[in-house]
Formats: sequence, structure tokens, C-alpha cells
Amino acid sequence: MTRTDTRIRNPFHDPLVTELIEDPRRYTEMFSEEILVGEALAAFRPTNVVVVGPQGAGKSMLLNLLRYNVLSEWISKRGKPPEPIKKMAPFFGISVNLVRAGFHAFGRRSVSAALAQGQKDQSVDAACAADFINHYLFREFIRALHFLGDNRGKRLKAWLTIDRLDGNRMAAQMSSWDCWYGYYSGCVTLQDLLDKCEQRLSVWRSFLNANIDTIPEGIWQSKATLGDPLHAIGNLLSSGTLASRRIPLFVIIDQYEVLPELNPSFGTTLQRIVNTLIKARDPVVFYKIGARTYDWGTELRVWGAESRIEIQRDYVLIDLADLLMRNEDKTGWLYPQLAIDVAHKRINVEGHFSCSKDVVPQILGKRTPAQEAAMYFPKGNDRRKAKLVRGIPESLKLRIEELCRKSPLEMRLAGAWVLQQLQRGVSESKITREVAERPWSAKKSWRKERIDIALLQIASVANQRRYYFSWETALYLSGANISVFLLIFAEIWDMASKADIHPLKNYPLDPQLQTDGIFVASDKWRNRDRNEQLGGRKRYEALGRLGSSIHDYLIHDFAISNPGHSGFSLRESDLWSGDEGNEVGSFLQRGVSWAMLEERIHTSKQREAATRRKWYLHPVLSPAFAIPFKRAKEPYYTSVNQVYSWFFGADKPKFGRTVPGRRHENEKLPQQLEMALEDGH
Amino acid sequence: MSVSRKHLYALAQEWEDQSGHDPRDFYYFRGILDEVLFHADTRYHEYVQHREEGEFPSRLDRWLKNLPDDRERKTLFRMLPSITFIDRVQMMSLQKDAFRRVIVPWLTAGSFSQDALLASDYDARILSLLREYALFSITESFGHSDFLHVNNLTGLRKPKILGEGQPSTGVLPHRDQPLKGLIILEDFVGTGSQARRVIAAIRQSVLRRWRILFVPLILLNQGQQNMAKDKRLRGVDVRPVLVIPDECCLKESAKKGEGAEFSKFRALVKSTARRVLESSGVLDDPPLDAFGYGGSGALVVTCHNTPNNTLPLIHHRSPSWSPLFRRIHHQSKDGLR
Amino acid sequence: MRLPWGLIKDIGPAFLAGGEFSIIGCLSFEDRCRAVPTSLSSGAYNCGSVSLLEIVDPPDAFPDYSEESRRKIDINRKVLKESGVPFESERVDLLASEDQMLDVIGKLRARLRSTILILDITSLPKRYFCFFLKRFLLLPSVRNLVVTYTQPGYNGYTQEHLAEDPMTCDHLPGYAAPLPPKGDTLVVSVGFESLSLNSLLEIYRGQRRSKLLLSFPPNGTAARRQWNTIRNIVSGRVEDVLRNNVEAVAAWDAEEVYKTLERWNGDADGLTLAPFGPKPHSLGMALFAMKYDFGMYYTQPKAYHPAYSGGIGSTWIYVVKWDDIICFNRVSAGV
Repeated sequence: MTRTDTRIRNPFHDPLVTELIEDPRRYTEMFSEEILVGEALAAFRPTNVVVVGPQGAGKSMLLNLLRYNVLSEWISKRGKPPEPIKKMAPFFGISVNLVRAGFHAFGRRSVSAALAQGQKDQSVDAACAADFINHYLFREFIRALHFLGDNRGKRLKAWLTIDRLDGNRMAAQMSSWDCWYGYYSGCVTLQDLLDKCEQRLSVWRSFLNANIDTIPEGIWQSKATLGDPLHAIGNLLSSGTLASRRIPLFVIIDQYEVLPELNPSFGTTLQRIVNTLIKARDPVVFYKIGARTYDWGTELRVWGAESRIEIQRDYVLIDLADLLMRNEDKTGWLYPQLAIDVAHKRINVEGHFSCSKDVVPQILGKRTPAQEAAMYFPKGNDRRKAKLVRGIPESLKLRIEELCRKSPLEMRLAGAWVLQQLQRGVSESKITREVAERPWSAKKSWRKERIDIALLQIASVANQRRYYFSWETALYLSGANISVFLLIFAEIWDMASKADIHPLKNYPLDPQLQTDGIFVASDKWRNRDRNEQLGGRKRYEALGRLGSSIHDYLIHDFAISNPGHSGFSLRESDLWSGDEGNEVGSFLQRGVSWAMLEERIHTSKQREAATRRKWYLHPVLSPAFAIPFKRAKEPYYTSVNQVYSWFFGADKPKFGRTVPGRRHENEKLPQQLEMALEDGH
Repeated sequence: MSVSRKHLYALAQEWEDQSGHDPRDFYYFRGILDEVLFHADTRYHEYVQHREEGEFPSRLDRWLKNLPDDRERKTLFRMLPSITFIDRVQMMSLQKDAFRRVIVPWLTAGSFSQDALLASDYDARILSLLREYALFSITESFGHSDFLHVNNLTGLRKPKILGEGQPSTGVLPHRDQPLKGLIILEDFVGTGSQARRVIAAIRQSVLRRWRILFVPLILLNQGQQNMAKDKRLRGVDVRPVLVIPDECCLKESAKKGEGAEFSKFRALVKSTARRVLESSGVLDDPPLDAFGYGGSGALVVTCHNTPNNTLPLIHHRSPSWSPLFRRIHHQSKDGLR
Repeated sequence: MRLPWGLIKDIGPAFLAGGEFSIIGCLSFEDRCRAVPTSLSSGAYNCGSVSLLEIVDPPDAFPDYSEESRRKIDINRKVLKESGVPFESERVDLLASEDQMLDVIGKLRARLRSTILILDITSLPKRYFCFFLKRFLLLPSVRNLVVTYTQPGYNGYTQEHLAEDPMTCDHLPGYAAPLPPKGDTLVVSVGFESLSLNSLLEIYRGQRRSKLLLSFPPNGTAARRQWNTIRNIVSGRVEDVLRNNVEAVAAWDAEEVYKTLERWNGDADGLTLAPFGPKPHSLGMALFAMKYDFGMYYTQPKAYHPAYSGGIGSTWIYVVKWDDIICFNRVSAGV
């Protein structure tokens, strides 16, 4: 066995998320009900739902609660479902992982071609895939009935008010459904049905595995029409056969978005099969799909026709990212409460520690910008501080040092303000008069937009990495993504553990320790995408180039003229026009889906009718590139051509706008600014 | 967390901070420490010798503390990834491979027909062939019982140990015995000086027609070359399972293809030689060469012991030197390795 | 199970010296792809035909190694021609579907003139050789099937990433797993790259029962890289590495891999296999998966480093089918 030194157990290590999905007991201990608000509750209503969000946003965790065995565990343990859904109508949820089931392989080996000596017929192959999914979900339903029939499902059965569960009677009834075309005739027990069903699914699997080259006649002639069996199951649940109330059937579908990737020629057809189920708007069967943000919507047509499924009409869309980022920084922002609750559960359940919820934010503590700035110059009279105001006339320099009382943050902001005025052509005498009012402090929004960059510049002048610490920092760095948040907390906890510091006994944790953990988390998130996620290799390279350029631009912008230029803005209409537009658009969408980019809508300051969107590197990448993680208003307005060159061109990207008096970092600088920068880096 | 681990992490942190995160200077000390401690917890704890020296983290802590100079300490630390540790599972795999890939083809030596290779009683046939050979090892450190057990070898003559000197008459099989030859195994062979002497003596002593196969589980390339050149071993098949190439050994003079940091390690070995090689008392058998027996410069440790071909600064305890994997040695100055 | 295997110089004559055989292999950027076609097209052997597949990486593979790969493939083509090896080659897509691979198999079968087929897996991607292996084992017309594999030469494998840009986890063509919950134990043959193993865990969530298969020998450097892969997989969580769930098997010993899997299967409700390690290990896994109808999952990389390996090492031979009897159907009485 492995030996482990006694180390403080880390309750935050992943990939617990994947393990939680399959372990109902652990899931119920860790799932946070904080997410069950607003539109998220639609997932539990009898309606078709698509839940979208970037990788790690929590889609699977949310949809998992719909599964009968998970809900059963919850009810068994706590006596009732989660509070927010207690008042909702009970439902019965079965699920399918399309890749694990093998559904995605249909069409890669064509049944029609095998039977017709090479003549492919997509509609026949689609019919075979449809038959497979029908029977697969029927199998899941039978297994669920077994579950309900034994001790494990007792509490769930009670919640569903099922009081007439007679396996044999049901088997007799189900085996005679017309939709089976006699396939299950002769089956008298649920086990008979299950065996026959598994035989059929095995035949499909054997064919797709190229073990056999034909489909037996009995199966071929009894292919079930898409959706009919599910409708029959739904009717059974709603008919009063099992219970006195109607019980909607929920079908949770996982891995829908990977179908085209794993099956380039037939994957979208398979998606259309699923779309058809949604389009049917079956009154007794409701489909729940989770997909990464932009992986939903690429194929909305149904099978066999050009009509499309429509949002609000055929399904409801829940955008988890939107839900969690809404009201950011304001009252009503959901995400912090979710993060606290998730962390609290992890600590208590996985870590076997005992702490109250209010302790959780205290582990990382608070911070003020001034406090952070002072950390870069622990010696009060550090002469390097003078570089914070380099580039401005000597007389003003002295005045500012006097006014700022050696506070590095005030000095940097003051220096930036003065440089801005000089760039605008304001006279030195006027500036001298105005500094007395300390405008860099008085103008709140001006200051707020520049603090993050100022701190980066201060760290750079002090020849140090930036410090990242405090609860608020962790929240913002996680970008409202709970998986990122858990990674950050895991690495901070690990750092503490290695230094033999118990986070629950010695909080708030030392800022350096938190910084080290956050840097590790930033690197890990970046490398994980590179090594493990589709297209990650290319993203690593492209975003690496961009991140460096953004850093260079902002660090050298000593006047902090464009604090919002940690992101860029494009016209939506440009994105999908031409080859470059398409490529940029696809790249950006995938970056958002994989939580490497963050996308927001914004109102253009330019006089134009076109709508714009803006993108930033995901906040968790900020430490890796030493760029700000808080968003200021105006991003860098650019064109698709330029963005294309950043991502796919051979030259080093030039990010940002050159303002009068301020050269781009590659260009020759005025001597004063040059000296400031050389000394600082 | 133990005091040692805490200290090691603090040290690694301090070293990283010193480099100022300049990518030109930066070495990921903490990352390497994480890796090394991961190996310590999953594999290094299988090292069976001198348990009284403590667990690996505390041994590592003391090992680094051998050097008062911080730069030297860093160099010593950076040697860690170059050390090859053969754990128990790997040793078993070597034993299996020794039998399946080396001994079996030698036994059958092209004599097995297609039918024999496909026969349902193939394993029994191999065993029958094997019974016509006597099994030996040169030293007792070769785990015969493990070898027999992992390869499901039953009904064989009991393997014997030849010893380091001239094999005694009682050990070698009598010429009248219905044997086809000898198979000699050994876990680690360095320069081969001892093995060559012993095997050459055996070659002289036994019947000419008897085949002899020598299977060291681990053999340094230096030893392989020495054996190939030794005329006394004509008529002996030497088939090692794993050969450690020269580039993985830290020799006294630089070798082509050796690790980029080896020159620094070499300087350190030389500067610490006097301290490392000092005898710790009458029971000690201190190494004579700072680069290991025969100047081998091996960087190998097995879960059973550290060979004396490995750098003494890894394995020798002296009054002023604490080792990382302390070796257990035998009385004779001229040990096999 | 009785799988005769060994170095081609030791075992080859017993099976190949007598009759005519056909070779199917891969014309790639690796030097070692030439070994079997060259050595078996001459001398004492009677080679009837040599068919080599040229695998084309997808156009969106990143990094784009296509130019360097092409150059090296052309060199190998030239060397083979100059050595007098008569071969036919055909370009096929790395990500070919099952149907496309069946078409290729159909064309290859048309060229087969002998009852002995040699499938050289040295440079064939796993998704190809595992699928071909299955189909040829099931074909009655292929009475004798021998697999060959040539190790890299002294230079070994590149220290850079061997392969990159992994796709989402999928089963290898022909090896979809049985219905869940069967296959509750995940067995990973560990290679040098973690290659999105976490996405494999997305499919097999909650696989607390996991077994790791390392390859050792051949060398300590490879072992270090594998252990680093394991460390990445478990995110440094030592407690997730149970020593009795880790075994090492020599990189060339496909039969021992099979036997190890049988032993583990005895204490599981089916195995799910992830062949990320050396090809002979993948061969052992593929044979096992075929025998017991288990699944094999992989995250297919799209970009292969053109300096993947250097030089030409020893060639191993594995007699997977002889006289129409598949190796895993051969009775072995043991001792």
C-alpha cells in the first residue's frame, strides 16, 4: 500500500465532480441547493430544457438531480426532495450517456450499406439509431422499475405516490405495446423484458463493432419508431396505472454535443434524431440536455425535415453562466453564495472537518488595494517607489510624493493621472493646480477602473509577481465557474498543507501562500485545456500569444489610458462573414465553451447600429499572464482581421491602441518613459 | 505534516524565491519536490535496508543538510530526478522478463517446432527443459523464491548460491548429473569484475558440453562491455534483462550524451569525496572511489539495496555524511559489485 | 490462451519459413516502419505482397507537422524502393470511420495471395491495428495471422510530446463496451502522455476501481515518464495509487498483459480497457477485449510528432492465429 505522511486532508481535489455524478450518496452530500433558483428550476418542471454553460459551470451537477437513483438517495437521506423543488410535481428521471451507450457510432458503420452491398441510405441508418435509443431508454426504465420495486426505491416510490407497482402485470402490458411490433411478445416478467432488450442492444453493438455483418430479420422488421416507446412509457406513468397522479417522464441526455466530433459524417444526423424528440413536444415525456455554451445551437433541425426546434416554443434554455454572473457585484449576485455553500460542504463532508459557513470566506480573508500595494514595498523608504512617477516633470513629482505620503498605490495612480493630462496637452501649471484636489482619488470611477492595472505595474516596478489573495479575489478569478473556484481553493489548501498550516486553524491564510496556490491553479487550468480538451493545443498557443501581448500593452501603458483594454470588442456581424470571420468566430466560441475565454455583451460607444460583443481571457488566466482580472468598461475595439492575425498569424500580436504621446511597446519611447520601463522590468 | 517535509518545502520555496522568477534562472524546485515525495510515498518506502535511517523525507532533509553551502545543496537536490529507483513491482517484472524473454528462448534455442510452440502443454515442456539445468545465483541477494514464484516454476532443483570466491565443489553439480547446463542469475551487476571471475571459474570446472547462461537482471553497460571482451567467458551466454547505458551514469570524466547537469554533479562528487568516503568504523567497508566501485558512477537504487557501483554520496554513511539510500554491505572488500 | 511470441529471429523461422505470406503495414515517418517489410522481403522468406498504409492526419491537427511528416515518409518510401521491397501503398485518413476501414480491409484482402498474413503494427495507429486485428481474426479466409512490432532504435522516443491535440474520449473502432454497469473496473495501460485521460473518466465516472499497467523494462527513463503520467492522472493524490492495483509488464510481452487482465477480471464485473501504453500492451488488451467482449477507450491524438521515435530496434512477432485457431481459444494446460 502507499504510505502517506500525515498531511492535512485536502477536501477540494478534483476530479471529485465526475465521481459525484455516479455516487448518489456523495452527490447528495455535496450538491448545493443554492443553484436551485430562478430559471434553473425550469429543469425540474415538465418542459424540455437545455442547460448551457462553459466547461465546469455545473451543468452535470444540476441535471444529475433529476435521475431517479440520485433523487431517491436524496429523499431517503433527508426525508424530502430539496426545498426549492419540494412544491413541484414529482417526476421520474431516466438518463442516457450517448457515448457510453454507443449511440454515437451509428452511421460510422452503415447498416444500410452492409445490407445493400454498399448502397448507403442515411434514413435507414437513422432509423436504426432511433430504434437503438428507443430500446436503450426502455432498458433504463425497466431497471428503474426494478429499483422502485426493491428497498432502495421505497422513499422515492412514496414521493411519486406509486402504490400499484406490479412487475408482472406491467411486463405483460408493456410487452404488448404496438410500438414494439411484437418484439417483446412472450415476455411475462420485467426480467424477461430486460433480457430481451439487452439482447437487441447487443446485436446493434455487435454490428457497430464489426463482429457481425448483418442484422437478424427479427430485429430488422421490428424497428421502433422514434419516440413512440417513450411516449408509451410516459403514458404509463401518467395514466394512473402506477399512481393516482400523473408522473412526467424526464429523460436526461448527456454527451449530445460531442456527436459531430466523434462522428463527423453522421453526428449531426444523430443530433437531429434527438432534436426530433424535443420537437415532438410530447405531453408526457420531457427531455433535459446539458451542453457547453456554443456546442448547443449548431444543429437545430429535426430529422428528415428542415424545420427547427425553437427556443421557448419547443424548449427552454437555461444559461448557467448568465445565471451565475447576473448582478455581478450587486445585491442578488448568486455566485458568492453558491461558492460558499459548495466550499462549506466540501470542507465538512470530504475533509471531515467542522466549520460554519461564515468561516469559509475568512479562510482567504479580505484585502484592500492599498494593503496589497504596500506589500510590494515592505520598506517604507524604498527608492524604487520613485519609478512609480517616472516620466512626469520633477516639480510635479515632488508635489505628488508629498500628497501621496509615499503610498505606492496613490503614487502610481497620481502618476498615471498626470501622464494622461500631459498626453491631452494640458499645461503643467494647470496640472500643478489640479493635483491639490487629488483627482486620482476623487474621481471614483476613474480610479476604480485603473486600480487593477496600477497594482500590476507596481508589482512590476518592484520586480515581483503580483499578489493574489482574499476571498473576493478568488471569486473574481474563478469567473463564476464553480470548477475553477474549486481548483483555486484546492491549490491554496495544498500550499497551506505543505507548509503545515491548517487552513481552518490559521486563517486568513498568508497572502504569499494564497498567491502561490493561485498561480498553480492558473497554470493547471491552462495546461489542462492544452493537454486534455478538444482544440486545447491550438488554444494554448493562440491565447498564450494574446495574453503576453495584452500584458505588454497594459504594463507599458504608464498613463493607464485604456484600462478596459484587457479585452477586445468585435462587431457581431463581422464575425461570421468570410473565411477569417468564420474561423475567428469558431475559435472564440470554442474558447468560451471551454472556459478559456469570457464573453460579454456590451453597448458600443461608437455611433453604429451594429451590436458588439467583447471577450477577455478567462480571469483564472490572469495570473499566468499578469493581466487584470477585473473588467473595466471599454475594451479594445478591433477588427476580425486583426484578431485573426493574433490567433493564427506568424507575427507577435500587437494589442491595443496607440494614443498620442504613447508609443506602442515595440516603438521607440520618449526617453523619460523608456527609463521608467527599463528600471521597472 | 512531518518536520522534514515542512523544512523541505520551505527550502524549495526559498530557492525559487531566490531565482526571482526569472525564467533563465528559474528551476521548479517545489515541482520536483512534489514529484520526488510522490515517488517516496508510492515507491521509495519499499527500500528495505537500514530502516533505522528513517523515512525518505527525513533522509532527504538530512542528505541536503550534509552541505552547508546553499549552491551545493541545490546541486545535490537537482540530482534527484537522475536517480533510477527500481521498485518491487519493477523487480518482479524483471524476473518475469528474465524467464520469459531471456531464459525460455535460450532453452528452446530454435529447437521448438511450430507444433511445440502451439502445444497445449507448452508450459510443461518448457518446465521439463528447465529441469535439465541447474539454477544458481552468485550472491544471496538474488531472490530465488520470488523468481520461482512469479514464473510459476515448480518441481525444479533447489537453486544454489555460488558465492564470491572459487565455487566450492559441493555447490556445483557433479559431472555425472543428467544436466544440460547451468543458468546463473543475479539481480545487479556493475563492472562485472566479480561475476566474470566466478563464472570463468565455473566454466573451467564444469563439463565443456554444458551450456551456461548468465542473466543479470540489471547490468551496467560498462559491465556488459567488460564481459563481452573477456575471453574467459567464451562459451558463456550473457543476456542481461536491463542494461543501464553509460549516459545514465555519472563517470569521472564527461561522456557524450550524458545529462546536461552532470558536469555540476561531477564537481560536487569530487568536492565531497573526502567526507563521503571516510570510514565510519570497524564494521564499515568504505568505498574507495567517489564515483562508485570501478568508477561506474551508477545512479541506481533497487528496493533491495543500493549497489556499490552507485555513487557513494547516495549510499554511504560516514562520520560527516548522511546517505539518502544507505547501502547494506558484505564483509568482503571485494564484493561482487 | 497460447500465444507464441518472441524475437522474429527466434520464432519467425518456425512459422514463416515454410510458406508464402503477405504483409500489411504502415508507411510512416518513423524509420522503424521499414524494418519488417525490408527484413521479410528477402532472404529465406517468401513474401507474396506488401501493402502499406500511409496515414494522413486530419487537416486541423495542431501543431501542423504535415510538412515534416511528408518529407520523412518520402524518405522512407525511397529507401524501401531502393532496397528492392515491392510494395503498394494507399493513403488513408487517421480518423477513418469503421466503414472506411472496412473498405480498406476489402481492398487489402483482394491483394492477399497467401494464407499467412503478417500485420505489422509498428507504425499503425491503434485505432487501425486493433480494428484490423479483430476483422482478420474473424475472417475464415485468413487462417494464419501473425502480428509484428519493431521497437525504436537506440535513440528511443522523443523527449517532446509524442502526440498532441487529443480528441474527446471514444471507444476504439470495434471495441465499444457492453452495457453499463458491466466493465466496472478500468484498466489503464500507462504511456508517456496523459492524453486527456480525465475525459475518459468523464465517461467512466466514479471508477474508483482502477488498475494501472506500466511497461517495464525496457528502461528507467520511460518508467519515470510513466510515473509522472500517473501523478498527473491522480492529481498528485498519493492515496489514489494503491500498490496492489499497479503492475509492471515488459513492454513487448503481450501475452503477460493478457494473463494479468485475466487475473484482474476474476475479481471484477468486467474490465474497461484504456490502451495508452506501448503497442504490444495494446495488442494484449485488444485480444482480451475480443475474447471477453469488453470495451477499449482511447483519446485519439490528431498530431503525431514526426520525430516520434528514432532508429530501428528489435522486431517481435506474435502468432495470434494459426491453423484457424485464435490464440485465446487455444487451450493451455499450464503446469
